[in-house]
Amino acid sequence: MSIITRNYRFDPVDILVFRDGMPFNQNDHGQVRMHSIFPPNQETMAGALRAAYARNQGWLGGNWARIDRIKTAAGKDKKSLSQYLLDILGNGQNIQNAAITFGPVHLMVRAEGGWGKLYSVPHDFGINESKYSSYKQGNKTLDTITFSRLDFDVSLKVEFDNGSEEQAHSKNEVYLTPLYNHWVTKNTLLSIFSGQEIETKQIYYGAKSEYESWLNRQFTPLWSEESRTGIQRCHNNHTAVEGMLYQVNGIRLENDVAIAIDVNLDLTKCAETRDWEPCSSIPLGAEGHFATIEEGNYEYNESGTVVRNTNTQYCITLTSPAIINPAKMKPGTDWSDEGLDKFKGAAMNRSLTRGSWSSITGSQQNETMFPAGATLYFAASSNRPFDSVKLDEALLALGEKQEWGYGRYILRNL
Amino acid sequence: MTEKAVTTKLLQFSIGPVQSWISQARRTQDLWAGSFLLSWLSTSAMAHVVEKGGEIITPWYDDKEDPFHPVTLLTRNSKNTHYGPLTGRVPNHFKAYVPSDFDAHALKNHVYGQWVMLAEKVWQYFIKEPAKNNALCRKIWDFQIGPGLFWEINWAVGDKDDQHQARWMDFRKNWRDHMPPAETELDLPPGMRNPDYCTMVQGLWEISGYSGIFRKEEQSDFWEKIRDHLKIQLHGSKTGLASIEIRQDERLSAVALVKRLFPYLQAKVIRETIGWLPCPSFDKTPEGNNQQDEPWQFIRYWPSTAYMAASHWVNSICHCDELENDITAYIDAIKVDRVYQVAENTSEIKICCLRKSEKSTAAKRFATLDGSAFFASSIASGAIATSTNEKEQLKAYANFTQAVKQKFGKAYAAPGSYYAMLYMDGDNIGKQIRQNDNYELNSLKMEQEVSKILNNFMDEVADITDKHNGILIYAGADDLMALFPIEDVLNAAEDLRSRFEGLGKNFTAEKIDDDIADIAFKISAAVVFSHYKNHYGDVRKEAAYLLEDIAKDRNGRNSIALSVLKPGGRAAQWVCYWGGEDRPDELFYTLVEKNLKKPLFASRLLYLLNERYGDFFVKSQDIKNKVILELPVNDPELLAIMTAEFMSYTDQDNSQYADTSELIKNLFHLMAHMPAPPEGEEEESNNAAPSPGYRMLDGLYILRFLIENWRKLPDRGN
Repeated sequence: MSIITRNYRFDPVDILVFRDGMPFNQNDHGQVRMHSIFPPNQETMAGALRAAYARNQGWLGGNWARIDRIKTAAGKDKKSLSQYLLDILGNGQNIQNAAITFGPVHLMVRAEGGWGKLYSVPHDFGINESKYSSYKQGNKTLDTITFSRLDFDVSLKVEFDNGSEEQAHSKNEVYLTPLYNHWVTKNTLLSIFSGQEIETKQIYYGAKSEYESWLNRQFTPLWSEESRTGIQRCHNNHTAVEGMLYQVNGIRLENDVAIAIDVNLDLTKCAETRDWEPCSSIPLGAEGHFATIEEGNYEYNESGTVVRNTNTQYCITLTSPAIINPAKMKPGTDWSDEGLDKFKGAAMNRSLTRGSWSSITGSQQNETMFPAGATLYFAASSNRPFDSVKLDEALLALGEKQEWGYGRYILRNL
Repeated sequence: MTEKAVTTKLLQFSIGPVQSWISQARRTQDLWAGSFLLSWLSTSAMAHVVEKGGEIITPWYDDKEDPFHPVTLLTRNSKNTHYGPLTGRVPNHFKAYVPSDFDAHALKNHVYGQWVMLAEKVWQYFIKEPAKNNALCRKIWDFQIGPGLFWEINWAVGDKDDQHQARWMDFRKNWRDHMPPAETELDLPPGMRNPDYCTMVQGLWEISGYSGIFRKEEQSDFWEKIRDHLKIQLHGSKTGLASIEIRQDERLSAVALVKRLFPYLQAKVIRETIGWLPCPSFDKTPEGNNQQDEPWQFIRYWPSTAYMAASHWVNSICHCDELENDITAYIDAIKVDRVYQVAENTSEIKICCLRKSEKSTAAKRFATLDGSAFFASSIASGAIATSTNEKEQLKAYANFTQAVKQKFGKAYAAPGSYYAMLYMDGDNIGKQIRQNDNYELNSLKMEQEVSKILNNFMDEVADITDKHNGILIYAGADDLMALFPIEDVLNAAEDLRSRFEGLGKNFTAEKIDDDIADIAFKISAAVVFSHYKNHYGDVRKEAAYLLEDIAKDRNGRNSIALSVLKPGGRAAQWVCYWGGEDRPDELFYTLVEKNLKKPLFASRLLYLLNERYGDFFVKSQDIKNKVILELPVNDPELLAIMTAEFMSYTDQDNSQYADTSELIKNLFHLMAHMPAPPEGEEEESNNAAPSPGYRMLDGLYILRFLIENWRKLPDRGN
């Protein structure tokens, strides 16, 4: 296999701050506050890892396409460092032809001696609404949860504005509440799919407020929000003055929680042998808070057999955000260019709009994407079994910017 | 319901975004405009449905003669005096019977059409001329205003007897597919970088099309032209005027500009485009400016947060004849820019206590100053004049506040810096309807009956708000948002609550429908005491958090939650059950008024009590062991110890023991956490968790905060 996959874990030494792309102005009361998004964008994590790789090769900052210094260590390297970095890591936003591309960003937890990846709870599963509501009001405990699948069929006989007569819905008068923004380990995910009872402590959440941590009191926390005030000193008198203070709401990860990204290294594009390891720590996110980097164990994620016969339905669940042309989200659209079939509909929370910096245009640009956990339904039009190798979620991908880790998914039968 | 309805289909409609759209506001007027426009678009949709042979089920209307009926409101007759509601009161969703051939896609297009029509007016009057040399500007405008980018319109049409009809829109929300196209799809001219983002509506480009990093000069020039054009359009001249409509540091998107500038359109344009002239009491001809080619007086300017925070201080000064000369001297010295004078003098004074009293000319001039003129920090930052020496203004301010201090005392020398946002929402009304045994058979009828009852409440909200010196931002179905001075907000909340609870009783007496006779009309509230410089988005977010998360979810509904939002963030938070004997307005305001007569609550004392005795009032958070500690609200020993501590600190003798003991009992209620009783449903297990325990001791801090910022004189009513 010419592609090897690695997994790198970032362990922050302080809070982390990932800007949301909203305007920020220290001198404007309406814009002095930065709220960190979390988990961060794919590019943010990939960018940090690229920088860590490059630093370990001697890169000292700046545009590596313009470095003309020759690395001569051990007398092995004939190429300039610049060319090396371009070949392996790509140029700016252009990494399609680089040797290193990226898989999804994962939250990770340490349990039973090892680190395990977390997956968003699929949006097509929910828990009993009245039971959850009672728990929310503090009246009951919620020691265990059983997830039920939102049904998706044509029984509604209702026309909706999105052109579908089908919507993911609950039957039998048991209304279901999806748990958006919650995560589970792979084993728990499989338990959800099979309808088993799950202990609530096996479900993870991130709290942005004291209320959220109370609401999830029987779940397991991944992070909390920490507020800090930043001071830029006045140039004239070197003291803090009005208009030069700002506030940051950063993210503090709990113990035994880390954030990780998968990396795919294409050996055919990496002719020369070098020790391609990242440096051990790197500034991550805004304000330059450091995180240490460690290589983790790569997990192979075979989802099992997924049947694709004529007239059967199956679905996919995103394991990382996906950038998909909205025109493709019309019911009945053919997705054969993605190796899939006729799109039927979806169960998903709101799309995410993330601000990022374009090194091509030299300016900020926002991108809208579908969230991890979103489930898309398809109707098979022929008997075409899925390639079992492709059931590895690191390789299954759709939509744009797959090289940055967007659009990863797992396949499931309904 | 008519016979015709039996053979028709059911339409369910909703338009959004709601929360984020309303929160994206930098001024009171933006806050109002956001909810008004949403309500207007919903009204337009309903009118279209009726026009196409449909019948609105909820919200409920009497008939087409009902002044709030969409068709009545949107009758674009030629009368100049076609008045309508000032605040948004139509919810963002409705249900209607429609003919079987009803085209819901056309309904969606109709709503977009209305929005585009209003936006075009704003473009024609305020943007077209200054942007005539900027082709990209119009391109961005069209992209942002056009269908599909901003408004999220959902509908469902189906058999009205469908067993799931009550949940159609819930099902629809399981698939959130609104995905606005990215502006990067616009082809920028060669060499152009992506423009800056709007400073009001998140995620949209500002319309100049320039990047502030690379084309700062062109960007500034563009916005200067817009501001100059507005000054000429609205004030007849651009010289010597500050820009109040679009401030110096604001760069806005097309969507934000429509929200900001439509209230400045001429009255006749408002009437033609919106369909009515928004008016506080639209059943009679309003007094004042009725010129149809002038901006409409009632929506043009709204009190700033600074003005709201200072209102009782201003009121006290306006009523003091001895300060008349000082007022005149101050106004003459600060030389407020003409635009501020024009703005305030041509607008309706919207705060009741400042409007209804007879005042001298000087007092009237003072009451119509811009809110920034009452705060030293705002004067120092040059907020009220572009060409005057700020040092001289500050000197005049110091002289004036010295005179006020001599008259009223040190505590009243300057205004308090806080106003209050009140946010209320009915508790579980929909859930109670759904739980009724006959719901499946009779759901639409029941919803209609409840809507009818809620209309009674809406009819009174504006008057109650006004009576308590508030500004109503919106009131629709069972929720409302309003701004108040901190001295009035708790009374207003209590008044509104008691009116809302009365709805159930009145309704039962009328016996409209047995199925909903048992519905309990309860309401929860959030009150945010916010610094006037805080961003509206943050205050609105805090209010939503307090209401939904703290008062409703965490405290079990029928609760009121309070917080103090300082510029650095939340400084105190308190919640209590609202159905018991304790009324927060009485608890807090009575103690504040006692303190006004005789200072009792020094900061140090309150902090000491909190620190020393606070832990007695904390419930256990030990969920594992399910331990609940009883709160010591009636503990005589603790009462005696705290009373003794209080008396010793305030040098009181034994004769005052009984009074002090009563006082301490009141403090107990501020220190203890009072959750709502659990809902009366059966326990599914015996493993009930203790009610959420967390320190609710902030009641004392909120009391201290109110004492420090209270500016209503003891002998002054409204």
